[in-house]
Amino acid sequence: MKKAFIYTFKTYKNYYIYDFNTNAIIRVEKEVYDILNENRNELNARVNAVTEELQNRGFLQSHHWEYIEHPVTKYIHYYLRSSIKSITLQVTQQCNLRCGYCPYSGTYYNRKHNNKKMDFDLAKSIIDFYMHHSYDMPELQIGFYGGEPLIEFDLIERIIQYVNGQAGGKKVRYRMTTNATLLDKKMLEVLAENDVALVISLDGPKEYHDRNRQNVNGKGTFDIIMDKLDLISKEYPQYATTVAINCVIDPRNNLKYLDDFFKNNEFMKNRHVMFNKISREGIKDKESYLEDESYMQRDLFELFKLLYSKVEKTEGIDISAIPIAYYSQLKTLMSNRGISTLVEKAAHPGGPCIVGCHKLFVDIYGNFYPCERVSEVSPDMKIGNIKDGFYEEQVIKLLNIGRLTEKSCKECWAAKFCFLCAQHADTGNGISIKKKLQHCQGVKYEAVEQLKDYCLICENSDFDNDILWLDDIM
Amino acid sequence: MKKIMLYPYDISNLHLLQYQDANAQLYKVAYVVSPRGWGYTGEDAGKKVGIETNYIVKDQFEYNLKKSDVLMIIDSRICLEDSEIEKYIKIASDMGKEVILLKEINEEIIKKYHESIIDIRSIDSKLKMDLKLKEQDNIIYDIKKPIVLVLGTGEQCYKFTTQILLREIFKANGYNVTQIGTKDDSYYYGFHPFPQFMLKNQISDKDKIIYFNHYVKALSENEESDVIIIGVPGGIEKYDNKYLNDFGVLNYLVSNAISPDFVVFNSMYVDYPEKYFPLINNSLKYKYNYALDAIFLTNSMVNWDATEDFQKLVYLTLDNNFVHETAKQFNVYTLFNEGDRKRFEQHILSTLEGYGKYEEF
Repeated sequence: MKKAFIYTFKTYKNYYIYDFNTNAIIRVEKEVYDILNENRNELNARVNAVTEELQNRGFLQSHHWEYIEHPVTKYIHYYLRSSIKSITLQVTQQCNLRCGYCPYSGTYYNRKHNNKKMDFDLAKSIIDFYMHHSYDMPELQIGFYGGEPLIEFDLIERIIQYVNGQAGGKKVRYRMTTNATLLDKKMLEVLAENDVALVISLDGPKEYHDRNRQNVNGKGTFDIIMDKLDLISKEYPQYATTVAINCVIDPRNNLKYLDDFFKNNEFMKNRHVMFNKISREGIKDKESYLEDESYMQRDLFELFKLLYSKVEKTEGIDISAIPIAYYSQLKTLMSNRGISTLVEKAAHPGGPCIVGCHKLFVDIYGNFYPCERVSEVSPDMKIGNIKDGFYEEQVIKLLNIGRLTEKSCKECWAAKFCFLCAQHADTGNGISIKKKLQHCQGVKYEAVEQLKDYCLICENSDFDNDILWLDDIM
Repeated sequence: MKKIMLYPYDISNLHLLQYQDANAQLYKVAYVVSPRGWGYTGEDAGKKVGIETNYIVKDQFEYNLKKSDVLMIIDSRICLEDSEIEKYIKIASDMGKEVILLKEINEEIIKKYHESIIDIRSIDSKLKMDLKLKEQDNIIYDIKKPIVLVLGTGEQCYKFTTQILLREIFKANGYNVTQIGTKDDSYYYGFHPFPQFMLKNQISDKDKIIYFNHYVKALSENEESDVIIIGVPGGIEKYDNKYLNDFGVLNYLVSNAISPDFVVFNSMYVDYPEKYFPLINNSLKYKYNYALDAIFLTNSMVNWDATEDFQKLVYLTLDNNFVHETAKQFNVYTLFNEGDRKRFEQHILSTLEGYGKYEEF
């Protein structure tokens, strides 16, 4: 028998195979697990019967992708001309805050804050380009980004007026991430009237927030933001219910204290709070904001409590809101993964979005990037500009970032769980094989954890699952 | 001949520019207008699929309406609110222009502007027949006229274009046609849209099947047709467990009501035609005991990425040359290639004329 392309793992209760080619998870007996785990050819009638049956049903194939190609590659020309889903405009490169972990603070391989801003005529031509390249999309989605976008609120208002005048019945959704410190009544009126989905950055209680989110004079901004949140609630109570909060977690923080703040604060109750870790992509000093052993233990403990509550359905456990996103992502990831016995000749590891279409980012000069998270100074991240349109070859290169590490990707059992995109291969000077490969261990670690967590929950609760029970197969 | 301005145009209405002969004595499309934000302005109305129509899409509604006699409100992928449509009808009415509606809107608006709105359902008086279907008549008639059935993967796969192409082929070859189409645009082309009773919840599936059979028979006899063309709205089966395509129920009803002599399938562009076409063929064969006679590979494919984001089916429009290259490999047809259309015409005529040689009693 050729070596099956599988990954074996176990929970405290059961033994499993993750079958790469079908994407299926199969629970097996220990005996079968042991043999498949060690890839032994053993004379055991029971095990042989099981493996033969699994093979007959399309599992345990030894097939590997012959080459790496993102399935959208052959249609990318059409996607780029008709299906830009969302666009993000960098209205300014300036910010009134100097947050320690900001990608533009100088601690990352990226541009730095400066006084440059987008011109209205350029903004109009970008909007025209977007409308002309999204004719297959049922909606328009436009984001305002900075620096701090509220610095250029007049420009934003003019853009909104322009878009509303052109949309012709096509739904437009606006969004903006802001530090909110400049927010006033007049701005709120425009934002509320146009249903701008507002995400306000707030890192938790005053001592945590003020540690990183300071103005140019080094003064914390917590008190100002709380005043602004009050203003929104008072002036536009209905709109206030739609405002989301983005909290960046500093590894030095006490997670319980952070969680309590969001649970107990009046404005935060029933508010959508997104918790994010400080991005380490493109960071210059590898030691800053590093998660130490103690942080990781606290983080895992919060996740453990959540999973325990799901498994045992125990009441009274103090569940943190912080790991909830992981739980829902796990559910989505697993239920959307698709199980098929169709043999794929070529495919691409999970990770890259449809570059240029998913969330096109346009800087103040009219340069195009895959999204706002990539480095604006890295030549490989530039995928076009407003004058020349898309650089299709560059888009294809980033879409197929797996080709950079083709050999490893074809051998990797976790390729379908991979989350690496061009950003993870970027050094700030361009994409690099070495940089991308540095992430592979992390991808596999996360894939294993996800598989185990998923199976653990499925073993103990009514979490909708698609694990194939060997008893049913046989 | 009156000059028509189409609004709001998108690629799903291309047939209104390509096939104008049916109303050539009454109307001619003069202007094609679309909201600027829809991304069509300033280019040929066929450019998105890589063909030329010689109509440049404009975005100035009132300016172009002034130069037209008729405003034709069409059914586009982006569904405008009735209040928005009323705004445009009012502008046309105030300018003294006529309005043709190829889209269902609130009856109150139609009543309000009845002096401006032309009832295209009366273009052909023969269509006004009153079919008194007898409920107790629980039998299916064997319809002796050849029936051409037009099916598709789902919405937005240009089924209506195929239906008008078929009508044109048969008419050009001297045949009298009875036709039931998938869209309200059918009225404009002088045939019947898919009957409303097939969509009503109050009628049982069994009765729908019987009614449809009787309806087709009556239409054919009344119109003394040589051939019957039936377009079935929607798709023939679900896409997946989330996008159900109404499970192809309409085709189930139609396929139990009539027996087609020639089945045309408009296929979405798919990644694996070599697997998809036999799958569809077998599915129809085992469900309804008929096979596909012709496949049109169309310029739409499902954009699953956007579908997931918007939680509704979203499509990607492909260029005709690209589609044609694939179609050649699988010996299927495309809709916007002259050679393909001619080949298809020969295929369907020779097949049906061949059947006609052996009359069944």
